[in-house]
Amino acid sequence: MPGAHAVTGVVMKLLIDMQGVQTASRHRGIGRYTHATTLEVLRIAEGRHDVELIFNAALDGVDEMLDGLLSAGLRPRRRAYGPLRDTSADKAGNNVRREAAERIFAHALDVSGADVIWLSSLIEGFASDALVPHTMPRQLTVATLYDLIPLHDLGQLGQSRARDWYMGRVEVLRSCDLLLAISDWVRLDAIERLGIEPARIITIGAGVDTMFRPSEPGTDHREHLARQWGIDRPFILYNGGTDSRKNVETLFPAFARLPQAMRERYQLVITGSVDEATRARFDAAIHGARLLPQDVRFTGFVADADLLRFYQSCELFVFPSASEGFGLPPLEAMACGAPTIVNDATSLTEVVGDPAALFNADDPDSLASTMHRVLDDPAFAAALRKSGRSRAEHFTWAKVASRALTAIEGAIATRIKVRPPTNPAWQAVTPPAGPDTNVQLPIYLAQAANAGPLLASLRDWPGLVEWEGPLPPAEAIRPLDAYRACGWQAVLSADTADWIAVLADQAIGMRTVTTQVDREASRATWSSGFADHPMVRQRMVEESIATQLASRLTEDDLARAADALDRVRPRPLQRWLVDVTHISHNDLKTGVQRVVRNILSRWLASPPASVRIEPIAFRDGRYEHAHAYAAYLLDVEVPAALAADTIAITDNDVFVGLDWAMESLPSSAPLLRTWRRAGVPIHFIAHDLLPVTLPSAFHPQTREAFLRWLQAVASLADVVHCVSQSTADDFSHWFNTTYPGHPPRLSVFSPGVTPLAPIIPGTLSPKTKSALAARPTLLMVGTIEPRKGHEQTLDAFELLWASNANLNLAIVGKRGWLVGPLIERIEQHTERGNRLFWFEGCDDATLDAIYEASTALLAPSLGEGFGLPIIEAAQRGKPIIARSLKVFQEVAGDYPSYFSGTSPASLATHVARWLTERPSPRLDIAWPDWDHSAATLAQHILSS
Amino acid sequence: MTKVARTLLRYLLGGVARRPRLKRAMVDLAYRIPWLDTRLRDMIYRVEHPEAALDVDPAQLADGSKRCLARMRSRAS
Repeated sequence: MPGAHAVTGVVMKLLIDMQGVQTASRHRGIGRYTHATTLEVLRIAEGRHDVELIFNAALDGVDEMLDGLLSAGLRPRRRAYGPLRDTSADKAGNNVRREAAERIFAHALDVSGADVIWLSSLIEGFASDALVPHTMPRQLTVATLYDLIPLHDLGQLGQSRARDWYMGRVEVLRSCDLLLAISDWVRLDAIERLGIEPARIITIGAGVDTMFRPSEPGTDHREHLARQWGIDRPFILYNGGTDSRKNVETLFPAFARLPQAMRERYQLVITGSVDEATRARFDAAIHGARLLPQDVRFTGFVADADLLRFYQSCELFVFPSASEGFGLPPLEAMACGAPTIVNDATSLTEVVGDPAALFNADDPDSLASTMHRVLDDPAFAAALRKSGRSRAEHFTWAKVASRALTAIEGAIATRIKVRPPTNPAWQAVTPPAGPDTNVQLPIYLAQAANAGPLLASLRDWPGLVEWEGPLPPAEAIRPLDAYRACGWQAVLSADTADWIAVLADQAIGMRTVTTQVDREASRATWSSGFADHPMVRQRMVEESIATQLASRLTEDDLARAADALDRVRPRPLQRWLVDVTHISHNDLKTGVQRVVRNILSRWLASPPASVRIEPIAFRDGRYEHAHAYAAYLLDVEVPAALAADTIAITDNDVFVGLDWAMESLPSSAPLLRTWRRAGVPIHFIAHDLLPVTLPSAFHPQTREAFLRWLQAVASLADVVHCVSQSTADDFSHWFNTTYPGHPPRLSVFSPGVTPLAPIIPGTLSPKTKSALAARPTLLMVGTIEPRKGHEQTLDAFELLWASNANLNLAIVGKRGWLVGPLIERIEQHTERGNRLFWFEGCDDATLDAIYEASTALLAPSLGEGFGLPIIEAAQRGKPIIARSLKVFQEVAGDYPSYFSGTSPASLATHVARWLTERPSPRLDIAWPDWDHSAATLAQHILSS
Repeated sequence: MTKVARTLLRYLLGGVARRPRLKRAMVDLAYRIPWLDTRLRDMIYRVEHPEAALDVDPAQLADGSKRCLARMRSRAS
């Protein structure tokens, strides 16, 4: 509800529209300004105000902003609307689409729950899909004002379409409650040209990034600049735009007026993008000034790191722009210690502060003489360096953000401005009111007899419900309606849902009435209380688009508009989209999939408070509901008519990559990236990093696929939840040493351990049973694959058997990969069936019988993510001989007898000694059950 | 990869999956040639998990969006 916090004047919820860093402006001053101001506002407001960012999903630039936020250690909440594409104002064919999109954008701001909306840059969108709200948001609305320079000469806007667009944007600026001007000159200009009351426009200034500073003593960039751009002389620098108002062409005749010796000693360097037409114009001007081509160097766009080198290395920075809202380049140059001179115009005098640094760009002699003086008079150059650095210290982004927040707080404190919502037109109807209804916002009159049809109508045409008489029995609720209202737990347990919950899920508001008279007497007052409800607001936008625009939109455009509109409505419950792409298709009963089954089934049956669990699967390029798998896990029927719809993300969704999706993640990652940009927190569960830590144990294809999965996870995840501290340590090491980006956070949860169920042990053949009983038997459990240590074990047992040690080796496990020769060796071994046994693919009962007949478990694996077999052995009270792995020690403590060598002899020696001593293990570890494990993981997700 | 090629390959993979001995022989053969194995598996991944569609498909809207669209259509007509 907007304004709720503003009343107190203490805490405000501020929503910043980030389009200033999303259009082509992100490569210019506006982008830098928006980026830097937002970071500082987030820092300053932390603990004071609730600041959230909103992005336009049709535009780029989100990733760069997210990188900046992560570099600054900031993780604010963010959201997105759209994508609504092809809305740029430069094409008449986009007009209707743009109007629909702007209504949706206005609605997104309207229902955001913010007290204040800050529009970072309103003059965007002529040639891009940037949007402004169709109507002013009801909240206090603030906009940054960079300049009104086009108003000084509207002819420069060219075509009338651009002029109309610009004037429309100026009107939006004028309608804002508060404008934040980037300089005093801009403020005064706006007061004069727009007639804005001075109290509604505050100067917040601009800042310079701390990266812009003089070079360290002893640093010399000359070689780099010569190699990269062929700059082989001391140089005069210009950096900035190249449109006509920047006056770049005045530099050439001014440079030509310098004495020849000086011209031969210096070069003129122009950094920044130059389009072909402008370059041709510049070349003509250079030729006209009789300069040689080598006198002027054009570098094109340069990254910040190089721009810093240019600023630090130039002998003079010159900025002849005729009009600026502020003038960041000269400030950056000053901060880097470059002698800086600027045109005596607009805001530039505020920036440099020093009258000696000004020239008249309309007079080439003025510019040339000032340049000459700086290059010829070291004392003057030094004075400019000193005054420039001193002046630049006053311009910090922290000060800008602080002034902005103070101005906004002041505006809130002095006037609580909430534009009243339009009063919706409610109309009483008797259900069922079908899709052909003409009633925009119905009030349904409900009784027990019509509860079922009412629900269907309510879903299609949201409205208020007035209930009269007793409720129908809960058994009458269809599973489909129970699922919609309360999720899978209601399908599993019918008593979780009741009619109130089911109706309330769909209704905008409900009340019970006793008589017709009571109902009608209070209806107007009651219904007017819902004017602010997000669904009421949505219905009104739907109505405006349907009646005013729909006939001029294509079916596809209308569908996209409907999708964008419906998705911005706030959802009361957080929805966890749990990825089960692989297990829902094919449950291979691996250890990883055991974790998925156990955790998901518990979350579905008993979700965390205020969370709705939705299993999803990536199919044919989209995520869709995995209803069939959810029903399978809960052992219920899929509710009739429940379709596996495509997932459309909303503002309260969380993605949980519970299943191990090595094969599908490279395909689904681009989609998940769009979800991440839209603010969906992304969580992954990680079981191990073995293909990286033990590469020789895996096939090259597996290693490559794993690496692709790992890189996708690293670039997408907000948090990676590891099944053991050892796995977390491995991930941490990889992130710190190999991954170039911002690593996700790590957390640790422990998979649950299933208590041993009393089962009837299976039967072994008499020969096997008697052989296992005849001598000590060491048991290995797990797939036969290189890292499990079967080869070393078999070698060790051959040594033991050769030295007359009488013991058995029993191997339980399926054939894995890269073990062809080992399998052949086992199958043809002379001890096979005597003292060597291989049980491939035995069931739980047979495994239990083998455990029963064995003396101890042998766990010689070279690497594990968790190590379930040693827990199962410990649960059975069997001694364990295990390799001294960190994860085994983490999971089983002192229980096993550890060995560490990798040679057959070292293992044989350890086994022989163990057989002699037979130490009694003491179990003092209590493993969590699956309930605890699921709850812990849920808690970690909620708390992050 | 075209939809037709993907469908054909799906049928082929389904056929192989129903013959475990044949599948094992093929996997064993491919294992010995890492270059072939890598390419075959990548192809299978692409068949089973085609690239993500990033934009809204008007024909595959989520449930809430569909109802919103139906209301707007109804009110527009």
